[in-house]
Amino acid sequence: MRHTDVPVGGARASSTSTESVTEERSVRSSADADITAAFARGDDGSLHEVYTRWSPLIYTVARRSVRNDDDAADVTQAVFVAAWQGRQGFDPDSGSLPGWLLGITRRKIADHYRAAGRAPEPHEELPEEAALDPAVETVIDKVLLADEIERLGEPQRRILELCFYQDMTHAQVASLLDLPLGTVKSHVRRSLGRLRDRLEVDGVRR
Amino acid sequence: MSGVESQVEGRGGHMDEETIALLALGESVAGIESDHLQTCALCQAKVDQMRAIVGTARSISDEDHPMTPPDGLWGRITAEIESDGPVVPQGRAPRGARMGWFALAAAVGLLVGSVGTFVATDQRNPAPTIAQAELEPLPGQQARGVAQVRETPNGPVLMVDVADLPATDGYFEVWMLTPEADSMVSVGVLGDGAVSEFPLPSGMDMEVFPVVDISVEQFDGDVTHSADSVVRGALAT
Repeated sequence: MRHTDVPVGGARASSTSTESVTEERSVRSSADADITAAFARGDDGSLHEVYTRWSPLIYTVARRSVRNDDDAADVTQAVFVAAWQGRQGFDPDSGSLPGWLLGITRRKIADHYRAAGRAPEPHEELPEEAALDPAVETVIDKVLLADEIERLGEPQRRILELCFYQDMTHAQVASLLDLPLGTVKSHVRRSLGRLRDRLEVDGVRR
Repeated sequence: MSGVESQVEGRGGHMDEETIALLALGESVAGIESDHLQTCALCQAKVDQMRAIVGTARSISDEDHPMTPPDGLWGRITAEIESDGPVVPQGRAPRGARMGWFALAAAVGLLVGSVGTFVATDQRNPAPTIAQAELEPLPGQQARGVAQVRETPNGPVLMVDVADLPATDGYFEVWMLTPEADSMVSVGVLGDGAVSEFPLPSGMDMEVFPVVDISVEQFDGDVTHSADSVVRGALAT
């Protein structure tokens, strides 16, 4: 019997210190770049790595858009099958792989709505320029932001959550965490920058 | 006003990112900064953009956090890619929607039942099912069935129950494949009975070889897979 190593996903080392954040982030983006390059080449096994890395994102967007776990799994299945079959249409120079996967997801969700709303008939692909569904766009933004917030190291994540969900001012956060005000401000600035970048890289509609 | 402008300009012209962050989060800033905002469309646009992101982030609920898809979905994806068509054929479910995993499992409940009675030979200690696969027909085939891996006192056993196999001059062989079908292990030859049972080597890794496949083989002495598969399905725990 041949035994093959199960492919593993991207590096997920969680960072707990400020110093390791940059390093962790670059390890992550370098792992993402490796997965993306393997997929673009059509390497055997690359789809599994893509699935391991990005299926939670796609599945959650689907789940929040179709409101039924079985249908969300169907949409996710359709996205990854279409991604593999259409992998030659992916150009790593023109955008991120998760951004491209989300583009397929938008179309499959639209397919799902259309299929559910009328009598059975042969499967039809929507045209490339599918009408944007504002509800789906909001879902995508929320899931991307939730994902990016989860990936913030500490204390950045705690700081941002206190600002976002406890409505604390920077000064209150600094006092609570016993950190210099300037440190809190620069963490918030960088964290918000990361959130903005994530939406611009992966959330862009195409 | 020109004095204020020059003060702001003197510090690099536009607002710094920290000030934009403060404003986006709803905090107040010094008069100089807010005056600049009144007159600078660029900074106002940056604040608006960041404010929208903060607003969206504040509306995130627990359900928006990425969660792992159900076990077995990866197997469905590879099975669909391998079979070059949807694993669950279109049109069987009402209103054009494809049946989900659980609905499908219920639809083949009869087959599961017959496997169940077979393996439950020891009613006091029924062998627990570790994983199960719905065996779906490949294009042009009618056969359909179920495979289960059960943990018995003698080690893991693959139970296969498949109906409507095509007529053949050869025989049916059971395989476990990688999702990419680039590597496989022969598990055994399908018997004539309703259910066949194949002991699995204790080192058999179902994560490496999750796809159960039944092929038509000829009595030609060639031990490799004929590439003529009848049914296939991915084991899910």
